Formats: sequence, structure tokens, C-alpha cells
Amino acid sequence: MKRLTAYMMMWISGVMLPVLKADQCSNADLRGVYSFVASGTFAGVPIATAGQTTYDGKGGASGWIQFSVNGTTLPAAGPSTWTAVYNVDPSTCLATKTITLPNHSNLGPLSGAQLQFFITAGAGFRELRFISTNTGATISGTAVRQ
Amino acid sequence: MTLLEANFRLYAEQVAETTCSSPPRVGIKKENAL
Repeated sequence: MKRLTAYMMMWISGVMLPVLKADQCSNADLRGVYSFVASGTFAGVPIATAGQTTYDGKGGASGWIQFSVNGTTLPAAGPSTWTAVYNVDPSTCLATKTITLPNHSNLGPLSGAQLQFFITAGAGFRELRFISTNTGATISGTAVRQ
Repeated sequence: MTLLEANFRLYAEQVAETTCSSPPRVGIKKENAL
């Protein structure tokens, strides 16, 4: 009987637990307003950013962003809006996001640009750590839910 | 190098040139000169 119980426990832990662990995260985990900062280099040029992201919990996001490119603010007139799509991997809880900046001359070379990110979450998705995955970008940052 | 990288670097170079080509400050007040 003890052996049977042991086999059942092994079966449950080996078969049932992975099933329970699957789909432990979803796009709904990213929802609400986050404040972020990021810095690094792009194409060898120093860059820093700060802004705000609002995740809708359904794979969409929007926000504000202000860049500093080698010490010069971009846009010069103030922060720009942006939109994004994101995806939270259900099994790993890792996320990816693609930001699209608006087509506007005040964004200079970043007008209409798409910026990709790889994101990990901590503290129950209240804190995010991310890097840019664009070619030529070495940029990392953090975000905190407000 | 992607087009975005090339344009971004060009922009940064142009901004740096503009910043550096500002006329030098002259006429330091005598009392401020060491």
C-alpha cells in the first residue's frame, strides 16, 4: 500500500504539477500604469529615456516617452506618445513588447520607429526589468507599477 | 547597420556639430578671471 501511495505521489508530481504550472501567466498580468526609466547606447550613441506605460491587460499598451540623445532632449518640445503590442508567455511568464513611435518630425530619426523589448517581471508583475532587442541597441531599464 | 541605426547616428552627429559650433564665449569679466 505504501508503495502504491508512493507511485501515486510520483505520478501526481510528475504529471499533474506540470499541468498546473502551465498557463500560470497571461497578458492580463500586465495591466495598469507603470513608470519606467532606461538607458544605454543605440548605434554607439548614449541614450536615456523616461516615461509612462499603460498596459490594457489584453496585449495592448500606450504611453509617453522622453528621450535624451547624447545629452539633447528628444523631442525638444516635450514627451511623445507611443503605442505598443505585448505578449506574456503563459508558461515562462516572460514578455515581449514592440513599441511604435508616431510619425512626427519632432522625433527626428525615431519618427515611426519600432522598438522591441524583452521583459522579465518581478514582485507579481509590479516590477519589470527589460532590455531593447533592436539591432545595435544596448539598452536596459526598469519599470514600476504606480 | 540598420537604416534606423544609420539615421540615428547621423542625427546624433548633427546635433553634436550644432552644439559644438556655437560661438565661443568671449569677454570674461576681469574680476572673474583667475
